[in-house]
Formats: sequence, C-alpha cells, structure tokens
Amino acid sequence: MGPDAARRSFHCASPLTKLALVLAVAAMLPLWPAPVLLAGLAAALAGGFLLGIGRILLARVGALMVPTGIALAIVQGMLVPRGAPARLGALAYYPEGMAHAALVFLRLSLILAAGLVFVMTTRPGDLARALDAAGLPPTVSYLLTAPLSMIEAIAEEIRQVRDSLHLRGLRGRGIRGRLRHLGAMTTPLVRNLITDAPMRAELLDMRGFRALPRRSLLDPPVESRAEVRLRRGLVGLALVQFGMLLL
Amino acid sequence: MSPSVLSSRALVLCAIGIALNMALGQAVSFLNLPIFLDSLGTVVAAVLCGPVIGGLTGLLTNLIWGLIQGPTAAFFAPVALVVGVAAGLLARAGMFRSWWRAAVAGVVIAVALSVVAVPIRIFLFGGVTGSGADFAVAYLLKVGESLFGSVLVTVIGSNIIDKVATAVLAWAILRGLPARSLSDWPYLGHSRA
Repeated sequence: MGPDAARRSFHCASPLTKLALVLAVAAMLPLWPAPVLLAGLAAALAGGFLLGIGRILLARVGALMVPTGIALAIVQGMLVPRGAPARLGALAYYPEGMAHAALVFLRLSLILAAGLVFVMTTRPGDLARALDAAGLPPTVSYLLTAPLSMIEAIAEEIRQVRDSLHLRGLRGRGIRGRLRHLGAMTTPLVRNLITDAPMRAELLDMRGFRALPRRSLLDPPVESRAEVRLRRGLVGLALVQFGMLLL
Repeated sequence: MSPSVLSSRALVLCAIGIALNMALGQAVSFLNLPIFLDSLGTVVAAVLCGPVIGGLTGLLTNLIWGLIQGPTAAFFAPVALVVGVAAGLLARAGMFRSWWRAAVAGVVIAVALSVVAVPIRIFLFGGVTGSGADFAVAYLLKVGESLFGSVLVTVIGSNIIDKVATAVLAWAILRGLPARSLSDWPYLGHSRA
C-alpha cells in the first residue's frame, strides 16, 4: 500500500477503529519502558506526517508538552528527592528523578500524539454516526453532537450581550466592575437557555427521538471485514496489555 | 439509569450545560478575572436536575473537550464528574438557597474535586500540568512541602475562587427564574428559600 492509499484508508476508517487504536496506545503507557514509548511516539508523529497533518500535530504536541516537560524536569528531577543527588555545574539534580520525569513526559506525549491524530482525522458527527450504527442509544449521539451545534450560537449570544453592555457604558473596570459585568452577561443568557430547554425537549419527543424500534441510518458507515478484524485485534491487544498490568 | 432521571428535558439541559461550559470557558478570558467559569453549566444542570445529570454534564464536557482539543482535558473528566455530583448533592441539602450558602457550597466543591484531581495530577502528570500553577507547586516543594501537599494546596488554591464564583453565579441565575419553573424542574425546589 502506497502512502496516498494509506492516507486515504486512515481518513476513511471508522472512528471506532481509530478509537480502538487510541485505546491500545493508552494501554501501553503504564506497561512499557521509555525506549518503547519513544518508539511509539516516533511512530505516531511519523504517522501524522504520512497523513498530511504532521506539522500541525508536531506544533500542538510541542505547545502542550514543552512547558510540561520543563516543569517535570524541575519538579521531578530537582525538587522531589529520589535516589542519590548528582551535580551538573551549579545545579543539583536527581538522576532517578530525571529518568522518572522522562518516562512521564513520554507517556503524556505519546497519548497526546495518538489522541490528536484521532481528533484531527475524525469529525464528531462521524463518531456519532458510527456509535449510532454500532447500536448505541440515540441519547449518546445526541449528547455528543447537540452541544457542538449549540456552542457557536451561545458564543454569538455572549458577544451580542457583551456588545450591548459596552454600548450602555458598562465596561467592567476593576474587579467589582468586571464581576458585575460577568453577572450581567451570563444571567440573561443562561436564563433564556433554561427557559428554552423544555421546548427543545418537546421538539425532540415530537420527532420520535426515543421511538422504538430504533430507526436505521440513511447512510450507515461502510466497513470492510479486514477493518472489523483489525479493530477487534486492537481491542484484544489493549485487553492483553491491561491484563499484563494485573499480573 | 431510570428513564425519568434521563428524560428528554434533562438530556437537553445536559447538552445546554456542556455547550455553556465550553462557550463561557472561552468567553470569560477577556474579562481578565482569575476564574475559568468552565463548570457553570455543570452546576446549573446539577441544581436543576440533580447529581446524576450534573455529573453527566461535567463528565461529557471534558470528554467532548478532549475530542476537540486533545486528550488532556479528557484525563480530568472524573474531576468534572465530581463537580457535578457534589453540586447536585449540595443542592439537595439546600446549599443553593442563599448567596452565602452557595459560597460555602463552592468551597465544598473545590475541596471535593481536589480528592480526584490531586491523584490524577500526581500519578498521570507527575504533579505538573505545564500551566502557571506549576510555579506554586515548585515553590511549595522548595520550602519543604511534600509533592502531595504541594499539589493539594495548589489545586484547592487555584479552584476555590473559581468554584465560589461559579456557585454564587449559579444561585443568582436560578433565583431569578419564575415560580412556574418549578413545574419544569422539580429538583429546583430544594434550592428555593
């Protein structure tokens, strides 16, 4: 399979298969030593480049992990006593602590990279559709997709309330002023949303949201047998790793 | 979970709470206040519908946040669950009947969430999260506090103002709802004076 075919296959893969991959990676974290985790991280980043999201992936992992790595090195490597201390010029540090900091850093970087690959190649709507097709109740997909469709409308309403407060001269200077501004901004917004909720619920019920038997999807996701086998394999791998932890 | 607990109305409120947490978390940054306000929707849902819906709202907020921005937020989903459950139980105990009780409820929520947040921070993140609060952890470690104590003080310290503000704001919002709201949200009766 060439790079283009691999990229297409991964982008078109079911979100559940990608989730199974993240689960298998998550199960690796407490089990394997630093070199294995480093190899996993390298593979995740290389996979990101193969999928055409490498630069953004690297930037996001870096933005989150560089400050965390520095804090880990200071806290775990220099401040928490762990084993015999050593000196590097004027700096005293604990080599054992530094090794622990490196292990935690690699664990976090690996799950972050794997999670970001999933996030950057999966639309929440596709995940909801896959969950529906897998037979989960419509409640699950509603709770996954409805908030995402509401966020923009709520953010827009917040902007409008804020602008109207500014027009009336309420700028919110000083801590007390800002708190008053916050109250004036959020109170009408949240009360409106609460008042609207029963009506939204009635609309859901009228559309047969909980009707039985459950309706099938108009365009159910298509999966090959190989993909289903791969997903089962990944879940099995995760379970084996969790089992090894218990031994 | 019984169908009455997860009624369509409660489900819609849960979705609204999640969206509110996400939208407000981003919107309040322009006010330059030392609060996140990313659990107002959770507390409001908990006071209106109880601990189950409150906990679900908190849990799903962080899981969806993790789906959009990366998995770090998802690690703290159990913390958000505790915020919702604690707020719902405190509402049942009548702690949202006046502003000062709501403030006390905010303190209790901050302490309750630290029970879950501290182990997550220590065992998953090695005591740090790459945020400004790490300076406080480092300072407390330097003056002789243990890692557990340093993280505990930092977590409670960074959350207490936020959770008190969130709880008082939730009280202020809900006390202004008309009396007929009680028929829509019977659980709100626990928070009416």
